[in-house]
Amino acid sequence: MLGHRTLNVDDYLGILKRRGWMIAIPAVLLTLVGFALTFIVPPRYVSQTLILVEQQKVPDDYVRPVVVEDITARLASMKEQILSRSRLQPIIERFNLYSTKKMQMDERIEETRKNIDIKPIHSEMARTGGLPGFFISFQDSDPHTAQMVCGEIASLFVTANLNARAQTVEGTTEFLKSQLADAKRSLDDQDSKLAAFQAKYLGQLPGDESQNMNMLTSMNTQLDASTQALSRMEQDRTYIQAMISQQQSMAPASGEHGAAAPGAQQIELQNLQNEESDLTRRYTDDYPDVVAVRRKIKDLRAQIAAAPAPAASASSGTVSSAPNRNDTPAVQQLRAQLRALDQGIQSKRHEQGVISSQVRMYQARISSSPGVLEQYKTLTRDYQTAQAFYDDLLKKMNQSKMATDLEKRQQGEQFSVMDQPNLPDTPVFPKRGVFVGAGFMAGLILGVLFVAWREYRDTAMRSERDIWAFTKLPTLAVISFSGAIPEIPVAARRRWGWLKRKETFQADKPLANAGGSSNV
Amino acid sequence: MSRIYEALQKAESERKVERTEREPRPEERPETEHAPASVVVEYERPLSQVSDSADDLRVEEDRFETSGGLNLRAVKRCAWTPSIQRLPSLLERGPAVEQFRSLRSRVFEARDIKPIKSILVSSGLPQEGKSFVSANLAVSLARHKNSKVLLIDGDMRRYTLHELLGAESHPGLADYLSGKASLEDVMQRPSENTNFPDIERQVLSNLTFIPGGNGGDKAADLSGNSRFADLLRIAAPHFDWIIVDSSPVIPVSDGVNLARSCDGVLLVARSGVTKYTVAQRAAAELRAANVLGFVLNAVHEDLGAGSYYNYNADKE
Repeated sequence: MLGHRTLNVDDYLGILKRRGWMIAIPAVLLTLVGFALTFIVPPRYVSQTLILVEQQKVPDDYVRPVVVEDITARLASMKEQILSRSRLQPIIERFNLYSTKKMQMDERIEETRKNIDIKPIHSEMARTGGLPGFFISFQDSDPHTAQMVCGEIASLFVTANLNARAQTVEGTTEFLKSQLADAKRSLDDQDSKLAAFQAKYLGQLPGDESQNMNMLTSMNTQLDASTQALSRMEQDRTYIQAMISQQQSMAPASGEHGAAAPGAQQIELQNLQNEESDLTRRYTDDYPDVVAVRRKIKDLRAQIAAAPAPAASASSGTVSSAPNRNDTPAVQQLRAQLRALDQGIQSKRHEQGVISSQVRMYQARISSSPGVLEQYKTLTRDYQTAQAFYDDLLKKMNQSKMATDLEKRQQGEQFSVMDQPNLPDTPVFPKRGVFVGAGFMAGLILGVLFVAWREYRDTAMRSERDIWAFTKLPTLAVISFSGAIPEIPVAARRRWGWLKRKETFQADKPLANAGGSSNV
Repeated sequence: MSRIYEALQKAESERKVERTEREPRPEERPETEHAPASVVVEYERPLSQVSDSADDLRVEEDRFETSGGLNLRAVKRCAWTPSIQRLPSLLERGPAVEQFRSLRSRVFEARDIKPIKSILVSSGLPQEGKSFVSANLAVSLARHKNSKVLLIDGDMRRYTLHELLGAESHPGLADYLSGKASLEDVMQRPSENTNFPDIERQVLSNLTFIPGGNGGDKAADLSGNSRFADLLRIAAPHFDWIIVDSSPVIPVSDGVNLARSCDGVLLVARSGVTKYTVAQRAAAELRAANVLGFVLNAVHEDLGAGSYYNYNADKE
């Protein structure tokens, strides 16, 4: 009647009473089956070991560890490595695992992988972001094999961790070494470039500007002084020449008038030449004053050339400083003074040229200093970058060396086997209680499902509620079955109630409530 | 409790009957004139007490046999050997007695709503206990104040009521309906010389039985015959109750035909066997009739009647 009308508690109790055996029998049978299975199924033993992750013994502030990857990730990586064929195959061959099952090596490796369990410890005591350790367990039908394989895997983990850390720190150091060499090469290159630049632009470098300005000022002062001295010396020379000309004119000689004029022209020419030299020092050849002076000199020379020979000879004797036999001692003395003055003038002019070139040089330095400064800054910036990179690498290199040394001395983070793998004395599978309980539950569920199915299929009416629900007619009386057979004891009727139900349909044995087998 | 309840019910019904007798309806007047005074007893007397008074019994017999157009003296007496196992309501006490007494009370209640004398007992399919219920109901009614009960085996195809009573099966209803026999011919009453216990003899003496007879394939036609209505009409004045056992209504139409002439219909459902679809169809087939309700038969659950009965028995 299940599903055909709303059932109440009494209905369910009635169903349970009527079909309880359908639930009880499978429950009992499957419980027994579960119990029997615990003897049939091959047992599984689990050996387990605990590996603790020991922290670095030197504080991180002093030596920063090179391996900073999360232990969980490293554990996963190591697990993949250890569960690889190359690592497992030797273990399988050594302990002859699963040899009795006629399995291929791939299947044996797969089976071994299934039976290895690596379980991290998630403890409240664990440090932030890390693991205090992990369990390694191995499952096998033989407890001794399970213990030995578990120990082997634990040692593999410890070794793999050490190797991984050593490889990491050594690899880091080697890498930093190569990087440091490159950085040093780059720094040297920058250094040489800077030195060449400094050599090339010596005196023009940033910081030399004030010195150049001072020098330029000083040179200008010197030039002025030299120019003044030269001018004075030339005046003196003109005066001496005039004195010589005077002395010679006072000497008895013909054609004094003719000689005077050329002498004046010579002096004028000399002055014009001095003026030219003075102008050419300051101005270019195209400067109008220079051009005018040169034109005057040219005209004057043309006049002198046009003058009579005595005049020429007289003038040559007047302006020349060379000693003449006819000269008087006074003239000779004047001539000596004149010669000294000429030498002084030449010296001063040379000095003036030198100073002028130096002034030009300093002026050029000052004018080119901005461009030099830009190039210098570029060079120094590259140099500083290379230097900083080099310094950084050097620092890292030192840290890496320390970390490598830390690992070599086994002072860094490492795995330590806390408990040796245990020898299991009781199998983890099959658990008798679980099997019995599961069998009982399965039987119960099966029985309930079977009863539910039977009740759903059974549309027979059994109570007044059924009759009212489906026909809306009252039930006038309920006639019990067993009460009509007084000769059968009550206890027996209860015990064999299900047999009696079957008898109701037997044609040769009429029942009280049926009114006879042939009744319609 | 049930006896007190029944006594109250009885008193109420008697008041109604007295009222009806004082103001008889025209069509019922002849019947009430011929009707035996079967309701004069205030309560159901213990059968042992009733059996002690042989004179009272004879007076009752005379009234029973000589009234109406039916000559009950002509009814043959046969040696019945009722099966106690299949007629448990014949017992002095027991759960079945109480259960059928309860059914009887419900029938009395139904009669309070609408006058009922003839009740057809049917079901949807065979083997649901129609004959068992009808026979035991008849016995139970017969025990009540010496009510006169006519039990008719209306199943003319597979008639079995005679087996329960241990009576003869011929001639029966089929013979009457086909006109081969008179009403007195097909009726049976238990022989007075039968060696019954007093209790059973007293009860059975109130019972008149018409077996099914062999209707065969003509049963459907015979059941549709108006002679059945005549039978009820003729017999009604002589009996307090007429119980008609019928064939199932789903496979054959006999029961539906007979139900038209009856005042009420009781449907029998066998617990754990009768499908609700069958019950619905049976009720639908009899929708033209006055279906009083269902009798749930052969219930396996312990109804508690046995322990209560046993408790009383111990006290007695």
